[in-house]
Amino acid sequence: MFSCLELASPLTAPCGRLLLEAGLTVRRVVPPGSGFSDPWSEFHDHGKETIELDLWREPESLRALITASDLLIEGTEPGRLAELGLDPARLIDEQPKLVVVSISPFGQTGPYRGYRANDLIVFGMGGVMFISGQPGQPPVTAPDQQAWVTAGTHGALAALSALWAREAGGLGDWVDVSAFECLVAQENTLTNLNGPGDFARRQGSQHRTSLPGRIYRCRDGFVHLFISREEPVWRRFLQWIGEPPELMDPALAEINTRWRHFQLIDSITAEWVGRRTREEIFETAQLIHLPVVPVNTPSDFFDDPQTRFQHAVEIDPKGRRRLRPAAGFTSSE
Amino acid sequence: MSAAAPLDGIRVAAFTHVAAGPYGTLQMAYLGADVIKVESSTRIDYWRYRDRNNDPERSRTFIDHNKNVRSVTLNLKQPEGLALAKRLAALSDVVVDNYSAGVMDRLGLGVADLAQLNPATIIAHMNGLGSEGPRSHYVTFGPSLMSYVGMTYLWNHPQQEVPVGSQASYPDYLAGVYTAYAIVAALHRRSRGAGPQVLDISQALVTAAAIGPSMGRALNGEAVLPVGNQDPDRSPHGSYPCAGGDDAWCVISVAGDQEWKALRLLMGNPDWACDAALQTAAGRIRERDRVDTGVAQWTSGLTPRQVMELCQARGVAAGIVATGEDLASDPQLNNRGFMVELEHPAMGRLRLPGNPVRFARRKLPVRRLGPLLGQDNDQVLREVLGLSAVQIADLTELGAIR
Repeated sequence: MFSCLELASPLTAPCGRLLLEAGLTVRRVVPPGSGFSDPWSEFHDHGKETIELDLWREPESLRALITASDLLIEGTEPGRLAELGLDPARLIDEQPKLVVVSISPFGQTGPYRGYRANDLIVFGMGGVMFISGQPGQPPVTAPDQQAWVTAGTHGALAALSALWAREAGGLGDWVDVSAFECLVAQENTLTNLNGPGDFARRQGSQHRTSLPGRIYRCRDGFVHLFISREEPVWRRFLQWIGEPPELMDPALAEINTRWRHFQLIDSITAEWVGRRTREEIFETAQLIHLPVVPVNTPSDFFDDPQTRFQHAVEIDPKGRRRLRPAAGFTSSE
Repeated sequence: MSAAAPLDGIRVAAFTHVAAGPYGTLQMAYLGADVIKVESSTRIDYWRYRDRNNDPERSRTFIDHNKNVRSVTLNLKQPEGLALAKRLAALSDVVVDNYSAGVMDRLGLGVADLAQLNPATIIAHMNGLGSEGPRSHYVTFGPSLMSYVGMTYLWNHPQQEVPVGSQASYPDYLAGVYTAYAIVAALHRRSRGAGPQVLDISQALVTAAAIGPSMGRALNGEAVLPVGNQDPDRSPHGSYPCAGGDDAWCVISVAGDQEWKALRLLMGNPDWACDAALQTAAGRIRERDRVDTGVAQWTSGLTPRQVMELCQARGVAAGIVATGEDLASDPQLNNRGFMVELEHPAMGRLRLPGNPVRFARRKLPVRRLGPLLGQDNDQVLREVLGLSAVQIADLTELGAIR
């Protein structure tokens, strides 16, 4: 399988993990004396080989490592590698089969190219943060550096695709992944811009496309109802909550009519849900295929029979429990 | 810039709906794969009714998520329609299905059926909770899936009683891209001689891995709580209110003492910021509230863009908290030609996000916006399935193609 060299940084860590899980050998180049002890590195760097090297002082050693690799993934500031004589554009000319994947906050070109940014800054600029949180509160960022996770997933796909093209007889390539653009490409912000002033905003957990469609308090915690716009789903919802007479008008099956009666629908739902437990709500709703789930903590999620069935957890040699590698899928041949 | 697109020659039969499946096949279509979406004109993809509209040809999000994708409408409830779908699957490198567990089996397009047709076809199932297990048939959507996994609980300011999360259906997008990644990895295995491959992708577990670091802590007995915009090593670090509207915000993140000094100067060296206790990161983290209040006072007099430009000019990491409207005119996106502007048969000229990934040697053009229902029936049935005009007419009359 291919060998990948990762110039280790938070931007490259998730990408390197996914490539390792795809079967590549991943060697991460780290500054001398650095280990990985934080939970981020423990998760994303687990299983990678480590090479200690001060690349700013020893660009020639780095060059030799690149020559021995099929793939280089890097997240250095755009232009920085060129200063070391390792401009990716030149690297792929000199080593035509090499694939370089550069992951940066904003891309290798453009007016923001040199902007200082970490995950928070990119998450704010990428549009997702503005629609996250309660209205009236500051926009809130996602846990565990999702700008780098998203960009890394795009980067891993691009890396494998470039290697695929190379194996089909083509040349290597230099891939420019902008974490900013990876977030902007998702729905909800730019795609849903309907005109000046008409853009998505924070509105707590109440989703703009589904009603009932938010997190409700129940007897022992919280549940998330996502009653989508299809008529059969609405009918099953009514059946589930005992067909309250106030909601039996057939006109309410149409989502736009429903929005005009938000308060009525929302308050009846809140009252019904409030008297029941998480487990009761989850089981009875899913029995009739209603998209209703409990709002879990991570520990709750691991206690769920489905997660247990999937053997999603492994124990590492140090006796620490962790999500098993490539937990996202099982592949059977 | 003349080489073929990386996935040129790869055909994908997409039995997909809503967001996650289409967003995954969109990435493959960007990379040059021929993605053929098999649709029903009676049970129409819910995503065609996104944006609260009642016309299946007028959903911006559908049109966005299905760029470069071809649409065929087959009646899978009819033997002749099903036979066409099976033939398409047999002629494809990949079959992607993101229907609920069991739906494809009931249609006669389950793993056993497909493997019989062509053992080289890679089958990728992406269900909310995976296709096997006691709760595999449970129904989820991106936002509720995020709640189920524990990500919504963590995506909040500290000490809030009510979980909130995001308007973003984040897991759909991540699981979509992840699925494309898993498929291309499977293509590599196939070319190295692997036998029939079935990928069972659990969107819940993909999302769990996205918060793997927090999951690791939780699994080892730590109580993992929401921390919002706080960072263990940085202060100031978060979103701060700005002038220019009732909901205008910027983000600022200061790591080192040099950056703090630069920010302090930008703020005009106010007394509070010159306090000796705040000149080290440890001090600023200890007095996070005081720092945040002071920084917010400064940002309140400036627009988000002013904060960003002032800070960036001095090497301080800062940005705007962008709205959809900000992004529509963003100088970086415009400079890089990120947006695509193309004609859609029903909606006219539309401007939508493009591919966030660029290859130096390969051009990856967005040729077309999302298709009308069955827009490519004729072309796909003739060119891919090799049907004659007469056969197509007969099958249409029979109701197999509609």
